[in-house]
Amino acid sequence: MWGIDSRWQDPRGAGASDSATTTETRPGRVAAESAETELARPWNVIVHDDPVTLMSYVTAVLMKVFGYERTRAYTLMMEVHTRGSSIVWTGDRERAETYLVTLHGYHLLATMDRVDG
Amino acid sequence: MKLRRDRQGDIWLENLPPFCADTYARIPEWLASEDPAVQARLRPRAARDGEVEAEWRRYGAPELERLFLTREQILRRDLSTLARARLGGGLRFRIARGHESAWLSALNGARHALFILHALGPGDLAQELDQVADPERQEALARITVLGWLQELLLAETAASSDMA
Repeated sequence: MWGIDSRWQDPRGAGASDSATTTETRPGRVAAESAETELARPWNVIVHDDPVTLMSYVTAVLMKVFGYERTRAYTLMMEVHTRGSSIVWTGDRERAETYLVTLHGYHLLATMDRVDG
Repeated sequence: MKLRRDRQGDIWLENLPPFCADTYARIPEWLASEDPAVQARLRPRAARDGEVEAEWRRYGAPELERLFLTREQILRRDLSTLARARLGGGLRFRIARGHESAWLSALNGARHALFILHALGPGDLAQELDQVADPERQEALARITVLGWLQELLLAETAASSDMA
């Protein structure tokens, strides 16, 4: 799971390299590649803090949904609790949406957002 | 209140005081509350971006509704086993094997619903029950606590059996 995250967070990001190679090509191709770049941009799944949900429950849900080890899930839960939110997963949009359905199904406050870039 | 798992893997909640049994029996009612604030919390926004949110409402939300419907049916089925034990007189009901996730989710949702319906704040949850003057708020806080107990019991049980299906 986290191997996927590392790939998405590669600082050489696909977006930057694509726009550099398409500036000298035809406009149609530029638009198509720009759309592809947009589609390829990863999404963050973010869990937000709330005053009601039990901390142990958030940890258990993160373990169950993402398959994280307890330590990793606990760390993320504590980040939610202390900072107000935490990016719990990063990847393609379709999977982000699937995760969001699951997290909302557990009544966690969660959103998805395009990774800035 | 006691939780045990039988040979079939079903969970039995036994020796339930009437207040606890009543609280668990009313979970579907609270989840179905038509209060707009409750519904907004149980079906929150999926994205800040309006376009993404609109797409979510079209494609993601219906899937979520199907999930909630299935879970409601699971809860009602399990709650239909709520009865007084033949000996000893305590109330009990069965959470069938594989229903743990539906219950954990519903318990969390019901806590949120009660919290909103009674206009409680984060500070209220930290208060001792006997320090809450208003009887209705006191009862709501007691029910939220009782819902949390079962969540903790189920979390401990599912952690032990890896059954948070």
